[in-house]
Amino acid sequence: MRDRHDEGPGTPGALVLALIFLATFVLIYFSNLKYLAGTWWVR
Amino acid sequence: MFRTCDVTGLRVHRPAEALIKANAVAAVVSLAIGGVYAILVALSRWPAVHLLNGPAYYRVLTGHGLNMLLFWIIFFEVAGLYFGGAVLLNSRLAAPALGWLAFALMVAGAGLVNVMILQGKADVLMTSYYPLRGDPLYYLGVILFAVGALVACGLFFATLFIARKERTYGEGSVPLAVYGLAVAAIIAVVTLLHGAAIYVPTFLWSLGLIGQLDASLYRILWWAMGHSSQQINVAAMVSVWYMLGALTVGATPVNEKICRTAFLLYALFIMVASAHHLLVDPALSPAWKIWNTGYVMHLAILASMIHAMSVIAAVERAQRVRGYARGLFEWLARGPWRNPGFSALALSVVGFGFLGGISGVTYGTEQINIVRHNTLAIPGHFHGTVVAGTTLAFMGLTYYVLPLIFRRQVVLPGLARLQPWVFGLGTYGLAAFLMLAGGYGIPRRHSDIAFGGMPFAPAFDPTATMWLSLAELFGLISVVGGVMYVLVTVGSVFFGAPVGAPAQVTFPVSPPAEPVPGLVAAATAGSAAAAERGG
Repeated sequence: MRDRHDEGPGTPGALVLALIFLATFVLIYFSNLKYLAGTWWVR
Repeated sequence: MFRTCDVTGLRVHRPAEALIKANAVAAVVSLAIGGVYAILVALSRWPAVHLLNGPAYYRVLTGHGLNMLLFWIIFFEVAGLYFGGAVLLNSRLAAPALGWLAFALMVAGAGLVNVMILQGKADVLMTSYYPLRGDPLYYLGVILFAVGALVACGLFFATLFIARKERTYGEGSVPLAVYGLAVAAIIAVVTLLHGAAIYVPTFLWSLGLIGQLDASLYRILWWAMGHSSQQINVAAMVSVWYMLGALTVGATPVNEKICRTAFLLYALFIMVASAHHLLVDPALSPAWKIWNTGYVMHLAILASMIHAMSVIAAVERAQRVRGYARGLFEWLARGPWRNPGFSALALSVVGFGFLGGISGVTYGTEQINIVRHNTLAIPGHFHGTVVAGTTLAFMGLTYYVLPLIFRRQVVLPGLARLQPWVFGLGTYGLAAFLMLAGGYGIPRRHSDIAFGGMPFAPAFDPTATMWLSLAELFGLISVVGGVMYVLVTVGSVFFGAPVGAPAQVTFPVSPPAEPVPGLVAAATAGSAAAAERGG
């Protein structure tokens, strides 16, 4: 098994794409909050 | 017994190769049959067309689900298991005769199921929820198919054992793609055992040998098979992502330990996610539902997010090593977009993550599931995962299976280049618009949202009709993409010119992009490719 995190160039583009994905996910998930209102953790 | 691949130099076990071909052909045939059913489903759900109603609609929906979700994907996965077990490990396949027995059982099972559906003896939808009763031969068909798949998994594990014992792949662990396939096979075994636990009693009940079944236990066991079978797809699809990254740009994982750990998370936690199908089931307690879907399921989701980032990072790293290092995204813009293997990989990762993944987590939350569960939002979600994700990835890999296993050049390369885009566009639209229609409350598994003109017909917002019509229109575009795929694959198998050298492969296999010290320095500092171009 090879472990190459210390070899070769970094991957900033992949990091930016991952952040875009996470932002989209949070936006969509929490846009559904109206359905969660009244549950114990959304009061 | 063995031949050496003219392109990759791998030793190919000829009996394994024959079985890979047979299963791949059966997969494409199943996809074509499922595609015909898909046209009928789309034209029935399109309000302006409304082709089929009542039992005929349920008949084609049952056929569409079984051919697409089970037969197409599992035949392709079995081909993948033989490819991973024997070819990638330079090994012989264990007991090829048993492989043919497994294939015969799967073909007989799939054939029987289709005949029963077409005869109108199994209008029970894919779930066949008790007490809906299909013909005993329908259940027998599913059991035969599952037994065949189980034998194929056994052969894969036996091949891993042989390869290890005979040291065909050197020291250390198996390659990452094979590791992922092994996880898929482990999930498959558990899935198929659950399938046996529910389909065998149901078969006996349909014969009248058992008086009655427990309906709630049926639902739990059926989904332990029904959703877990989709997790086989996820693990196999991720393995295909890594393979496509390696084949198209020579990508190697940035950190294999992380990738393997993520695969382990699948094996440990993904099957619990089956519980989200039962979030509106009155027979189960809220605590059971919330524990399984609110906590444990997310460990499997974490694995998918690790893989998605890892595959993209591997592609970026390979491209930067090659010199496409300007700014944040030159590596992406300069990707081999005219290679259908690469475009299918990109569309599969994005479709699976943004359409299937985000919607899956959202709808898998109990409170949201209550308002979405029986709407078209759910078919929208799983067309994002299984069609935009798994099917598109498998289609992309086919463009390498054709030259490397069938040893045929891809015919109609222009059509092949376009195919992932047409299929991707259609499926993205289908999934997104189904979810929007579901958001307006349009029910799933229902041919007629006007309820046949009944006096209590629910009034849907007119916008919903627009989303539903758009969904079916894009569904038909997706079918066009599927037809293009079948044309290219069948045409290549029968009419493709033979491949005898790397230069004859239509879409080239990329050599591994290993970091070279001098180039890495240039890649880190700026764009070597730009320097080469004088820019």
